[in-house]
Amino acid sequence: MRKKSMGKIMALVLVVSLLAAGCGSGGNTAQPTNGGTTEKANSEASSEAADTTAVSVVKIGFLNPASGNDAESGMLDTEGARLAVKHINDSGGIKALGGARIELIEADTTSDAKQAPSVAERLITSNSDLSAIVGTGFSGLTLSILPITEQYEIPMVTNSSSDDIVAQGYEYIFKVAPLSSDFGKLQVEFIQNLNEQYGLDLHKVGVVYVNNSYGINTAAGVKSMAEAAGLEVVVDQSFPAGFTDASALVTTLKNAGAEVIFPIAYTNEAKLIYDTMKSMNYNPLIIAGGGGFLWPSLGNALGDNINGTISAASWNWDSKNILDNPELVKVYESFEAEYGHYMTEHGGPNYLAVWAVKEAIEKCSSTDPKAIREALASLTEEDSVYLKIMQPGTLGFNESGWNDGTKPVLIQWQDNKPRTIYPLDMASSELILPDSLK
Amino acid sequence: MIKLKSKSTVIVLVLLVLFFLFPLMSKQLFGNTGNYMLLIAFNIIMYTAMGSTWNIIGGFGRQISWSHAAFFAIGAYSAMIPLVRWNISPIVGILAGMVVAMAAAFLIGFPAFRLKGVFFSLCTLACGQIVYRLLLHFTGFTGGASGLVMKKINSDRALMLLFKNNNVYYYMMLLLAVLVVAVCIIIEKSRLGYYLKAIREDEVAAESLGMRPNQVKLCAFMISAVLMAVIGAIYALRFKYLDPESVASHDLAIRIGMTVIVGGIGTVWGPLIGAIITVPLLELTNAYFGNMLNGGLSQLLYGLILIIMVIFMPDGVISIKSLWQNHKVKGGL
Amino acid sequence: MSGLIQVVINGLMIGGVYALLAVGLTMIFGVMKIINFAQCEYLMLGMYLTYCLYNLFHMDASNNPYIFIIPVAVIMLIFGIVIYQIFIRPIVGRDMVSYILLTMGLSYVLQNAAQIIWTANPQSIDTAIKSKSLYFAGLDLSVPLAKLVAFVLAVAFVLMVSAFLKNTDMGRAMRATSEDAQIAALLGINTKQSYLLAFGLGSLFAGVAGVLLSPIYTVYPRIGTLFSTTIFAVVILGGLGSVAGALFGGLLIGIVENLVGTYLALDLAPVGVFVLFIFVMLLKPNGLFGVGGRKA
Repeated sequence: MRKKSMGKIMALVLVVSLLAAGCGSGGNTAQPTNGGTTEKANSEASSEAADTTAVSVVKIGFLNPASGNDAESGMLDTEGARLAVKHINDSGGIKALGGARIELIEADTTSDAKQAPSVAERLITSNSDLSAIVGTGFSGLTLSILPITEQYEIPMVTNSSSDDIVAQGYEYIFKVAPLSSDFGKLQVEFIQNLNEQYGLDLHKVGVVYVNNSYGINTAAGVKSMAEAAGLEVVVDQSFPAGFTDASALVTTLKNAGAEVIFPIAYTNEAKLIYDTMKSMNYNPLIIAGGGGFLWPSLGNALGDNINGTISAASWNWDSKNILDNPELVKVYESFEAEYGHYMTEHGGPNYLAVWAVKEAIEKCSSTDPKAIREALASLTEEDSVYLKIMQPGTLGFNESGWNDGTKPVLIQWQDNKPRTIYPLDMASSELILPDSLK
Repeated sequence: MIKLKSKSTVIVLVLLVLFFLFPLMSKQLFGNTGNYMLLIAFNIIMYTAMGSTWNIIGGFGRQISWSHAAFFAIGAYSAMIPLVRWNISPIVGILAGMVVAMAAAFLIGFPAFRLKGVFFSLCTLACGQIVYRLLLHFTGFTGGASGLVMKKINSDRALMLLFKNNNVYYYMMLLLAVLVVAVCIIIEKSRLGYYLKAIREDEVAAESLGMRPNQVKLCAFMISAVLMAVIGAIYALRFKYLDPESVASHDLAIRIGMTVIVGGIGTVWGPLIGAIITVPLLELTNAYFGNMLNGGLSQLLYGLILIIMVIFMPDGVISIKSLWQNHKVKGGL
Repeated sequence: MSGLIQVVINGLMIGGVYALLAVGLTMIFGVMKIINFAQCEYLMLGMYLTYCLYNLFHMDASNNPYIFIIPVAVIMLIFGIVIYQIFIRPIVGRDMVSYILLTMGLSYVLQNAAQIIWTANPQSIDTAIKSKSLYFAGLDLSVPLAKLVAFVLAVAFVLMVSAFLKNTDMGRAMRATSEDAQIAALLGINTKQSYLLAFGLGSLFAGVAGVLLSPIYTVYPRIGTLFSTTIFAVVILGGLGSVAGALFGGLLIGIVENLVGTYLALDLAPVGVFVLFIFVMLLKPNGLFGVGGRKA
């Protein structure tokens, strides 16, 4: 082996690659690092006209997976954020900064929690005037990025649902979505209501869930609620993500005699579960725990057969708080016009996240991330109608950064769209009792 | 023999000094993105170390193992679980991880080494998958798919190996990498390395000359696993979050082997070259091409570049000079 | 008891699917001595092709995709040959390590190319057969029809392939190449053609498997990853190069997967498969139907 050549190659490759990577990401380093204070002074001095020293573009980072296993839901997250940016810019931008536009700087975290920190660090360090970040939709990826946003003191607004996110003492994270473990309360209440209203006796439940963070947390919630309500949990099993065959799962449920099932799964698995249940002549009541049961791709996969399915959701487009506000109705209508499908459970919270950042900037008249963080902490739904979009129409981050007033809803697929049916003060349409229960 | 005056040794030492000085220079060199470059450098160092441990068994012995992610995960979890659940110092965790990894290597190697070639490889793949699935299954102990996360570090606690400044972890990983590469150099020149080479060339012949190949392979495998576990622990402490998907997955197992194969399998410096190429390559494709074309372009390019490299440089990038001179460099040093 | 029969039937059905995928992989290994890590990406392409053809001809729930078996088979055969010429031929004769890196890189490329073309959203075809089944009320047994079709066709394919290998000149050439490529070449057999054919046929089988699976699964770029580790286990367990082994191995793994998943825990089904795999490998290192330990 030629040591000389080895050494030279290594040196050359090292230097070249480091320089290339540095140059590639360092494109925006020419910005002044004290841009925040300058802008603040400017906006105080000239609050009305857009003068040449005022900031004209506000940068918000967007971190979500565009590749790998989580690409599908990453895309759903992106749709909501992009629409919010469009609406904000079209309606005159950030008034407190003289009509400054928002620029969404998107970066692909990939679906690998080892890679996400690098992407976050690159995003932050190569955009020194970054004001805030929106992302990610995945608890695992969000958790891996937390130390970084904290280190650079840049507030991140996320729609991830895991409890862990706001339990580590980090101050620069804001969580808009309800706890997935809260779904269980709704799901169980709903069964009890059904039993009362229709004289049914549904008491054997099966909890089956995909073995990922979302599945585990949601299932734990529904299981403890079910047991507390005196229901009999006959099956409580996780299944591997990306399984190829639902037969064992359905066979287990059928053999245990589950009358209601609380499944949590993504599109492919949900389709397998449905088709296998139909082919095994097994028709329990399905009250899903969200996830893929809410996505357009499942609606496409099952066609009309999806109608009647009930699921919990952290957010839905036609809840009362939205229908009662013509501004918010316009939001989901323009979403549908833009993307060709209803506004998804991912789209809504991301729309809110971007809008919350915008309102925080309005509140503190600054692009300084620290000031924005303080403004976010004190934000409420009174600050803008667009902040009423999370059910039940309120917004307020508690000390740990969680929007703890937000509540999940139950939806039922009707006419190939998820319609809010519960709780009744949020419902937009009535339950259509599935045939199997009549 | 390592000739102290040899030109290439000087180059290696210069590189080492550069790596040591990098945290101090990065701000001057790269300004705002200095920290990001440090993160890339950390990853390069880490993959060099990971690749080097893999190389002990996979390169010197040509026993292509797809279970090394399992050892990485064992080390990472051994550091995190005691820390997060019982507030026990990761120093204890690391030691425990080394023991567990050694045991795991024995359990995996004992059956697996009875098989040869691709059969061995796929057996290690199966074993790696078992570890991954078990980590997912025992949620109460490992946190399962929700993973384990560390609370915010508000002040340095050296005995707990918790530091606010990531440069501390950088140096830890750098020292570890130096140690691992040193171990590789020593093995390569030692009797163990000689035996491994013999096994690589012709196991049957080696056996007929009185060597006990299974013992040799198992020994190399266990050394490899123990070192890998320590790397995993430092990773966990630096990044403060892990879950089975990021530390024990099939994809990571492949990436470790791929790093070495790209650089030059069976050579002491192959892993370093492989890491220097693949880590920035992934970052570059993500930085320039991420989010393009429905999100698929960046990894498509990454895969294409790997393919091109293997077609034109079958023995790894380390053989590039000799390829120009139309020689084929077979095997290692 | 009927519960157990249902579980075994479930296992056989998914096992047939595994067998179909494994046949192509084992053939490529048998002849070329390489594990094609991109094999399941051919499955993904076959599924996407079916989906595109289905939409092109405006088919709906009243149709089923099986009429596309021949066109997809032909397209995938050509595709396999093209991939071989571009990517594989340059590295024929090199050691295993090159093939590993190449076929893995290829699987990345194919997955991401599919994402570029069709996005990451799962697509599916609408066909009535997906939820139909044969139901035996007496035993409370149901056999999903789509999977039964896949199973029957898998067996048919295995028989066809065996016949091809035994009775045709090309097939015999492939078997000779698989036994010992050097001697086969000395005897005048066109080993390069055998490689080409093996690769093309492997792609063809995976593509056809895609057609058969399209009523059952949604198609998305990474759907291949669901099957790949299992298929590798099937192929090795059955015996690399043995088509009968692929069939038997597939069925066995399908059954074990379902037994463990139903009676132990769903989560542990993959563990059960891998434990079985290791167990068999220790007893019969060359696989159940593997031929003696001669190396290439």
